[in-house]
Amino acid sequence: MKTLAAMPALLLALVLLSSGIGASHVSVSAQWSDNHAIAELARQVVVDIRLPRTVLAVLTGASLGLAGAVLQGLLRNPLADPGIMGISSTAALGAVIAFYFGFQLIVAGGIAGSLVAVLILVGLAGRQAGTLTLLLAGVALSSLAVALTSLALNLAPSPLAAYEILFWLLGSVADRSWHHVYSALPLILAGWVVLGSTGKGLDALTLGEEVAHSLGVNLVRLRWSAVIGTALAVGAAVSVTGSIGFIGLIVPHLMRPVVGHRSKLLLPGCALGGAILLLAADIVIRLLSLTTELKLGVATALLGAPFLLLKVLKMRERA
Amino acid sequence: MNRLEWRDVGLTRQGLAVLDGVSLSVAAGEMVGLIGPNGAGKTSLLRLAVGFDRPDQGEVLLDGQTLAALGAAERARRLAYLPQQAETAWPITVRQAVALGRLPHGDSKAEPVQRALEAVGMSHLAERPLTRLSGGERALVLLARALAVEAGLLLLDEPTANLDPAHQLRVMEVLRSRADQGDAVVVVMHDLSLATRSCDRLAVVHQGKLAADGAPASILDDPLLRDVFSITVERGQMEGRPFLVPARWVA
Repeated sequence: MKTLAAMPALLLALVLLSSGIGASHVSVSAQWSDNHAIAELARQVVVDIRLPRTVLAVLTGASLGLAGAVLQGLLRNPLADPGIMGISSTAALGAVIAFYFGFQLIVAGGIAGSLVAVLILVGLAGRQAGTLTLLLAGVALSSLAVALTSLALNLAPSPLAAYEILFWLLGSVADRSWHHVYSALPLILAGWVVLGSTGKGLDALTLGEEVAHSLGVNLVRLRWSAVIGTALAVGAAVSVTGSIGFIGLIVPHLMRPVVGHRSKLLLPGCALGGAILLLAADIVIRLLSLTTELKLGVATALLGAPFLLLKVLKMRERA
Repeated sequence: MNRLEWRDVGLTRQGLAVLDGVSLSVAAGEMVGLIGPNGAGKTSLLRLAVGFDRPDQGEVLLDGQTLAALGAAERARRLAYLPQQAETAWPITVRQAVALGRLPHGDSKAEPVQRALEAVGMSHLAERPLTRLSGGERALVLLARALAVEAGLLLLDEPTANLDPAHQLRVMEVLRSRADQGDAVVVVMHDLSLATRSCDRLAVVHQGKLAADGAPASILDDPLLRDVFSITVERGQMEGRPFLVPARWVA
């Protein structure tokens, strides 16, 4: 409980830190410099470049953490994650397809892509598929989506188009504008509201579907809420940041021991935890002074893949 | 007053009749054992009562009202169900698991949870994760979860399966005491000796039909045991109640 209370403060501190670092050495306080030119430049750097990036990292991280917790609760499976299950990459594919048709449709494309993925996966899981079936289906979906995105990259009409497509494949919050934030924000928030409504049902599901039903939980509505909430939040986020994996896997695992297993604390905890983790990762890649900035999706994969291997190892030990 | 009534219910699955014209009722203060061979339709009867499946024929009445007309929340407050499969997805504590029984009421009152824990003698383990209990302890905790609903109507699907004799007797004692305090209890079981000793009435389900319904001593005669269960039994008396022990399997 104490940890949960401290998390907003940590997030705020990271937001301030994130606003103060970047490619140019401009501090946040330079906005209030006596020199007008410096103040204006600083305002542009902080408000128009760093803040949208920061806000997108927070929104995307929170969406992935929250969706991960809800999917794990719904499927009663600790390995469920929008990334591993191919939801993020299918959303990215949707966005790439929409990219060919014009900018306004990109968010819708991302949502449509993730909706298709979640429907396939929950449809499979609803027929009592085991962990293995679910993960294999996720691997297949993810591979297909990445292959099709790569195909689009392969056939890209211009280097600029290729660069854009590469961005969705790798995932990043760099060079994003307020326009990107505004286009995704309403749908992300709507997704959070829908995902947040699943709490009590997920708690009851701890003891299985029959118990949950007998306690008055509408399982059909619960499944649809998880599907639509994930599609909205993850689809909209991925359409502006590209595919960023493993946050939805790692965050619930870190939060469960701290805030417990009840949704009332777990869901907000995972949203906050996801925002903190992704923003922290984005700060770290900016601090690493590489000639080419590491893409955020690459960084989370480097962090998440060993974590997944460790989890699988632990599960094998227990079996 | 009947708490629960199956009125001429029929259920067909993939062209096969799972249940065929079963009529059965349970009154407050009554403990009814639902017995019959594997696949007879006992679990299907319970699932109809919980609203998991809908009958293709007939209807289920809860407190005299058609189940289909009641909302899910209303049904959940009037009927507690303990399924056969015990699942625990996350290591929640015993108290948190039992508190899930309060979900239909939308409250998190501590008293009903504590009462339920005490009824099964598990309050000393209240803060322990559910995943770190023995099979017997977990069965008692899951029973407490059903008790915490305080619905006055308990439907339990093989609550004594896979339990050692001591835990079997503890579960049956808890159920008996609930019935003595006015609850209606329907319990599916396979242990005929335990069923005859504990239940007020036994309902025998065989091939989707109700084969017999009445006091344990009167209905479990030799022809029925042979026809339905394919067994012969040895009979005895204990504490003024009849009991029987399966003796031989007959072809």
